[in-house]
Order: sequence, then C-alpha cells, then structure tokens
Amino acid sequence: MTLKTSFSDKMSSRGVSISYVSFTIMRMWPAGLLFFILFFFTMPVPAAISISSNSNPLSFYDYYNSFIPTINSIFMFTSIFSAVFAGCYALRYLQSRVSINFYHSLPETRLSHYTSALAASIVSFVLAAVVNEILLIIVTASAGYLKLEMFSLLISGFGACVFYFFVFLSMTFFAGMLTGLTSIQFLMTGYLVGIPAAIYGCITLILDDVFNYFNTDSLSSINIYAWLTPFVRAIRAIEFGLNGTGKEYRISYFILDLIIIFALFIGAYFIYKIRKSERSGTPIIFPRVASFIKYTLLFPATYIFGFIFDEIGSSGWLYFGFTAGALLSFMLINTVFNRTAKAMFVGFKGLIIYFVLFITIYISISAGALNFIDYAVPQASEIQILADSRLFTIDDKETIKKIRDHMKEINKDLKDGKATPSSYSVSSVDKGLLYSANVSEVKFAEAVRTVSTEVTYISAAGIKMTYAYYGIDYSYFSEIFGLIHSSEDFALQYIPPNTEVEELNICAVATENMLAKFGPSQHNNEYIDDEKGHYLTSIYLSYILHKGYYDEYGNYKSSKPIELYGAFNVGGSGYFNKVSIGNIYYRVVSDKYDTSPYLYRSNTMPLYFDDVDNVLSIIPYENVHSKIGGRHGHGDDRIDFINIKEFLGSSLDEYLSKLSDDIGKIIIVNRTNGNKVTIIDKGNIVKILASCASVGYSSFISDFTVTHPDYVVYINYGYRDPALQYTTWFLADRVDNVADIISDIIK
Amino acid sequence: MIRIKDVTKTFGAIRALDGVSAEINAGSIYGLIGSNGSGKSTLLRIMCGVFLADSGYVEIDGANVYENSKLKQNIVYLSDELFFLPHSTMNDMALFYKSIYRSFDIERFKKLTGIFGLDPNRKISTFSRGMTKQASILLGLSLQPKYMFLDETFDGLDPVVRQLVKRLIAEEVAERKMTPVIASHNLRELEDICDHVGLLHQGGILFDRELDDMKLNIHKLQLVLREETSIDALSPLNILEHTSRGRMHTIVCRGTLEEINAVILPLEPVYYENIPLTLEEIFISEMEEKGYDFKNVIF
Repeated sequence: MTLKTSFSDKMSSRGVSISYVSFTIMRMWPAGLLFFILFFFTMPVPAAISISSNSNPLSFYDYYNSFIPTINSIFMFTSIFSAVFAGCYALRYLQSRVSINFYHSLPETRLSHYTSALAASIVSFVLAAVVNEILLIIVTASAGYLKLEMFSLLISGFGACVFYFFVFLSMTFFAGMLTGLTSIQFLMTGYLVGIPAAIYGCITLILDDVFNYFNTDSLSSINIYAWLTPFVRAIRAIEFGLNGTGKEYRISYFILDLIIIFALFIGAYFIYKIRKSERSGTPIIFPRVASFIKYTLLFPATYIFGFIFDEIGSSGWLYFGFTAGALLSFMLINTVFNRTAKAMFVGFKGLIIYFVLFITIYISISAGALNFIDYAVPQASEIQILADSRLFTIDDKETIKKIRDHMKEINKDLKDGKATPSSYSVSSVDKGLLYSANVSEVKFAEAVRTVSTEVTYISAAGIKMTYAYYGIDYSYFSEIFGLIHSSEDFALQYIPPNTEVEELNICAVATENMLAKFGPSQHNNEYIDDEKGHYLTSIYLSYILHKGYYDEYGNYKSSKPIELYGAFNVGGSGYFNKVSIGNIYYRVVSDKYDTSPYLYRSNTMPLYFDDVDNVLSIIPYENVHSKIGGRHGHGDDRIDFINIKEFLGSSLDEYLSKLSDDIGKIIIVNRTNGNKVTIIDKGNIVKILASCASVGYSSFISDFTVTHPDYVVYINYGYRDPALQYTTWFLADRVDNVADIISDIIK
Repeated sequence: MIRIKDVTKTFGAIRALDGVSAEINAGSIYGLIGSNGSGKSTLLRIMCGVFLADSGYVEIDGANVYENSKLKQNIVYLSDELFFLPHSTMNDMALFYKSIYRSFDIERFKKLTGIFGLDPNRKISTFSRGMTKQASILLGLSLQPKYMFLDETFDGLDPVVRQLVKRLIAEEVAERKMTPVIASHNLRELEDICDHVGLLHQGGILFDRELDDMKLNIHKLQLVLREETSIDALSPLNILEHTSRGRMHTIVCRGTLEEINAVILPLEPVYYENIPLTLEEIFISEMEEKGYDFKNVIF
C-alpha cells in the first residue's frame, strides 16, 4: 500500500519548506499593512466621499468616465510602487552579510528562500489589493452604479494593475539578485526599467541634430518607447480602462511583459543559485555586471550634460558638457558602487577609452558619417506624400519608380547645395507673408513659391522612413506632384476644394453614443435609408453657413457653431442623453460609377443638434479618419465631384454669396510687379471667391492644387482694421474668369 | 564525521583558505584556533553551507553540506556576528526555529531560558551583548543539533556563564554525541573543553592534533642532576626547549613519559618533577619546532 504524499512533502522533496514559506509570508505583514493603507485611502475611501458628497455627488457619467479611470490610474502607480517596495523588502535579507550568514546557514535551500520571498511579496500585495477592490465594488454598488460596463471597467483596471505589479516585481527581484544593498537594488530596478529608453532617447536626440531631411519624429514615437520600457506599457494598459478604446495597448505588449515576468523570475532564481553569499553587502554582486552598468549609464549622462550646456550656452559648450558629464557621472557611479569616495577614479583608463570612443563617434556622425541616410531614397512598396495636411498614398509600381527617380535628383541637388530653403516664401504654411496692407515692403521679386512636404517610403515589411522637406522651391517637386495629380490613386483620394458639386446624398453616418443605455463611448457606422438621407442632407446643407461676431475688443471672431442645444441630464438617472453623429458619408451617384464602391467623408463645419428619439443629431468631426469600404488609408477623402450630377440644397453660388456678407474686402497682389488691387464690391467678391483655391475660414492651399503662382489673394473677414485675414491663390484654370476685375494689376 | 578536504577559498585578491584539510570525529569537541584573519570564520561558514569553497569539499556524514537542507537539519551555526529576526523576542525566535528545525525542543528551550535567567518575552534588541550571546547559545542548544559550529562564542560572556556554557556543551557531547566545533583565538578558553585542536594560520592548517596525544607526547620537566652527571646525559631526549637556572633544568621534550623516564631515572637526579603543560605552552613548543615564532601566530 502506498501512502499519498502531502503537498508539504512534495514541496519538501523539491527543497521548498511550506512552513518556512508560511512563516516568511506572515513576517511580511508590515508591507502588507502598508499596501492595505495605501490602497484603502486611494480606492474605496475617495469613492465613498465622491458619491456621498451632499453638495455635489458624482453622477454615473462622471463616476464611470472620469472618476474610476482616475482611481485605476492611481492604482497602477501604487501597484508599481508596491512591487518595488515588496521586492526590496522581501529580499532585504540578501543585502546584509550578517543576515545572509544566518539565513543561508538554516536548513533551507536557496529555492526555498527564493520561493518564500516571492510568495510573501505576492501575498502581501494581492490580499491588500483584492480586499480594497472588493470594498470599492461595494461602494460603487451602494450608489447604484454597479452596472455591467462599470463592473467591466473596475475588473479590467484591477487586472491591468495586478499584471504590472508582477512585471515590476520580476524586475525588482532580478535587480535584487544582482545587487548586495537595498538602496542599490532600488536604483538597479530603475535602471532596468529605464535604461533602454534613456539610451534610445539620447540616440534619437543625436540623430535629430544630425539629419536635415530624415524625419526623426518617427524614431521618437511613443510607440517605440512602449517597447523599450514597461512603464509606458503600464500607462497604456490603464488607458485601456480609462477611455475604453484600448487602441494604444497591443496584445504584443502583453506577450512581451508575460515573457519578461517569466524570464526575470526564472533568471533571478538562477542568478541566486550562483550568487556568492560573501558578496552580500557590496553594491553589485558580479563585477563584470558593474562595469556594464557603469558604461551604459555613462552614455546618456555624457550626452545629456552636453545637450544641456549646448542649450544654455552655445555649441562650443557642447564638448565641455560631454567632458563634465562623463567625468562627474564616472566619479559618482564609482563612489556608489564602491561605497567610498576614495574609489571615484577607479578604472580611469576605461573612462579615457570610453570618452575617446564617444567623441570620435559623435564627431564622425556630426561630420556626416550618417549623411547617406539623409539623402537615401529607400526601396518602397508604397509611398506616402503629405501635402496640406493630407496624406496621399501611391502604390502603383511605375509611379513609385518615377517618384523615386525624381527624389534621387532632388537629393543630389540638396546635397550639392543647389537646392536650399528660401528665406522668403509664399505659402500657406510659411509665415513669411505679411498680414498688412503695406505689401510693397515685401520683396515679392525675391519670393519663391516653396513647398513643405513629407515623403514616406514604406517597405514591404511595413517599415517606414519619412523625409521632411521644408521651404524647398516648388519647382523641385512640381513633377512629382504632377505624377500624383495624374494618378488614379489621386483621383480617388482628393478633390480640390470648391469643386462644383452636382449631387450630394447622405447615405451613412458614424455615430458616437456617450454612455447611458449605449454603454461606453463608442463609434458606430451605419447606413441610413434614403428618406433619412435626404432629410439629413437638407438640414446639413442649410446650416452650412456660419456667422461671425465682434468681441468686446472689436476683433472679428470666427463663429461658434450654431448650437441648437446643450447637453443635459434626464431626470434623476444621472445619465447624459446625448447622441452625436461623427461623420457624414455620402456615395457618389454618377455615370462614371454605377454605384461608387467608396464612401467619402464630408469636410465641413461642425453642427450641433438636439437629441430627440427619432431625429439623428449631426456633429461632423474634422479629425475622425476611417471611411467605410475605403481602399486607401485615411484623410479627407472626397468624391469625384465632376461626376456628381446634382447638389441638393443650396448651390455654390448661393453659398458664396452668403459667405461674402462676412467679407469686408479682398486685396489681390501681383507677385511679379507688386501691384495690388482692393475689391469691396460684393458681386466681384463672389466672383473672386469662386475662382480661388479655398475660401473658407482656413486656407488650404494644397500642393496638389494647380494654382496660379502670380497672384496672392488676401481675404479680410470682418469690417474693422485689422481684420481676420486669410490668404489664398487663384485656381490656375479660373484666373481668366476674374481678369477684368484684376486688370489693373495685370500689367 | 566532518571531512574537510583541500578546501580553498578566495575573496578577490585575498586567499582566506589554502588547501585546508582536516577530519573531525563525531562526538569530539574540536577547537579551531587561529589569529584574527586566519580563516576560522570562513572555514566554519563553508562547513555549515553558507559559503561554497572555490575548490575542495566539506562532507558531513558522507554528504556534501552545500545546499543540503536535509543535512543542515543537524547543524546549527552560531556566528560571531549574531542575527535575529527584526524586533523579535526569544519566543518569536523559538517559534521560527520550530517551524524550520524538526528537532527543536520547546521544553528544553524553556528550561534553558530559566537556567540562563533570560526573559523570553523581551525583545532581543534590548539585550546586552552578553545576553544576546546567551540567547543565541540557548536557542542553538534547544535545536539539539548533531553538529554545532560556534564562532568566538565565549567572547563577551562572564566567567560564570562561560563555565555554564562549557558544561552544557559537554553534557550534549556526553549524552547525544553532539560534535561542537569551537573557533576561537583564545587558547586558554578552549583548553578545558576541547579534546582536539586545529591551528589555522594564513589560510592553512598548521597543526591538527588530539589534545591527549599532544599532552601524552610532550612533557615539561624540572630536574636537578647530580654534580657528576653531565647535561649531555639528557641528549637521548627529544628536547624542544631547555632553560637552566643554576643546576635547575627546565626541559620541554617530546616523547612518552615512559621513554623520558627511561633516560632520566637511571641518572638518579636529585630532583625530578613532571609539570603539567598548558595548551599554550604545548603550542609554542610545537610551533617553534616548525620554525614559527608563536608570538607571530597568535597574539
């Protein structure tokens, strides 16, 4: 007959003593108490206060949308703090020679010690966290707010925080095995969390200084830092619960952190097994690790010092900063690692070698060692070109090849100095223009038409390399823009502003429902029937105009949207009863397309409507992007207006006529001779507006718009001086329509 | 039995132990003597599994002690730098030991607490240095270990307590065949308890001998020879040390008493007495024979 072995016996046979583990867990009670107090006063107590306030109790909406996400965010930070504290507290026996002599002489294996410390850390946190989460749920329920979406939010936030507790605990444990003092363990944890991001950040700063055209913004994307430090991933994880979108937290982050947890806990144990007891009480257990840490810390310290001196002084101070940074940080690190200032110059030869290497590499890079990147024209399966805040994507191979050939020629001229940014530029994105009636002071003869654009090459693997060109002579890019302009991709992506609209029929809407019966804020795309579509179209177009007003200082202000209502609470339920529609999509109805496969988003001023059950509210966004069934990316996609047959509602002329009421005068300046003319007649103003690239309250001169380069059009909204002025250009093929109006300045 | 074989241990550039070998029989009281920095504490820590030897090994009862929790159930180590759980009382420590050591005897603990006169409910951090030592000793004895390693344990104890501790250790050895290894730099302290001594110097064992053997084989004699007897008549003896004051000769020589008597008695000395040697005197003689000035070895 065989006897069943108990769990204790099984664990004992593996070298883990259950009684020792239990005892260690109980000895961790001070940490557990600390965590409990911390969570208690940051979770259920504030919740109870917020909902029981006599003067201003939180509504469900605010409790759900704002309060609980804030609690979850705070809980994330306290969880991270708890992980570091628990790891340092549980492993403090390793950080003293006296205590380690005691513990390692006990009849316990290192596995038993490790398991005990780990179990104690976890139990002390989990107990405190679970109890307080339960209390928070009880408080929430007592207010009647515990609905399914609220419960989901609470649990998802709690889960994220517990998960990141484990991530940071694993890093603290790993740090604890590498170090022999609690203070150094704490610093080492910070090192593990932050050093990859710090080194990378310094590299991007260096590259940012070096490159003229290669756009390092993509290198500085927060998405990259999310891969480099769990701190950013933790914040993103809690943002998932904050706004319910979860767009920024990826499953790959979760996998990475899961790997980190296992790898570091297991790695820490194996380091513990080879860690020499006699090294306890010394800052770093393994001398080679100390050297590695020293030099990885030196690099960002050296650069940051140089950067600071360069910023506050001049470029000559950069190298002084490098020297001071390297020397001072070397001295500090040595002092900390050796626990005595007498050791601050230990390994000075290594510092010399490091510094020489650093300066050599830095000077080489500054002198142009990486210039080949700046002038590269990478292979690409797609090219994206940014113009006037619109992104156009080209995937036609032939067009891509031609664009790349042009870019090679442009780069050659840029490298040779033949193409340089101009100090005078006439462009909507350049502030070289004077908003003044005294335009003769501007030397138009010297002004050039420049372009500012970005070109992104996307490889088959999805790697993007973006190059930014600012203030480059338009002629360099004119052929490229011509290629784009004539491509089918362009035709499907871009419609020039104020193209005559023949027919607009709203067929789909994107709605945003905020709370109440619809749950968390979410975007829904839905098709609507023709009847609703026509109804919406007429409402939409009739409110397309805006009115301005003069403020108390006599300045003309662009209008606020015409608001027909404001948000309100319905009865005592505490819900917001507001439904908004984000984007209005319309389908092309034309001969060219039987039924357009594409839906396009409108791009007009926002409107607000009241929410009544059977009337859909309309609040178009300007910054929402996706389109239904679209083929190419995002952006202000428009219909192929020339194929539209009918425009329901007001005509363009009627629109412009009403718009002209807001316009005090238009000044047109001939760039070649500096002559100008002022138009105040309303009829002429309408004709001018109809011939311009853009007439709205903002100026959208697109590099893809074929505009006439000789005339600058200043539109003054309002009747006082100075007025709110916008600048535009004539469309190249329409300038003849106003030749008689501007005849005085043509000569 | 404890078998130490060619143990070497280095701390950075410092070679603390250099090929140390020794055998400690079960039931013997082993005195590990050495000056400060000779490697006593290092050797004890290797023996109880705190340190891992760079080379060589320590076997206790035929098993390697390092990471051997089963074997360490039979070992207790009382370090020269005492450690107790923070803010603990003796009762707390007793509970701790009880949870780890299967052999911890709570009754014995209570009895010893009474004998030493310590308050088990008082925080150990409030004890004096001597009381702290007493606490560690009585907790160690309550574990009823098979092997007890004591590092400079008698330091800080008053003479009465010192004798008490020695008596308790001797009782444990007699009743349970406990094997204590006592490290100290004080020969006089070990003299009346140890039956085997080893001398550590600069990381190596210079000397490892049963005390009885040492005492049996080395004698201090005082004698006065007849006027007609030349001092050369003593040449057959293996003399380690010879001093004279007038006709009174004081000799330390190696050999059994029978062998020595066989040389001296026929000379019919006027006066002949065998004076007991202290451990210190034995050591001095032995070291000088090895060419060491003992004063340089132990302060």
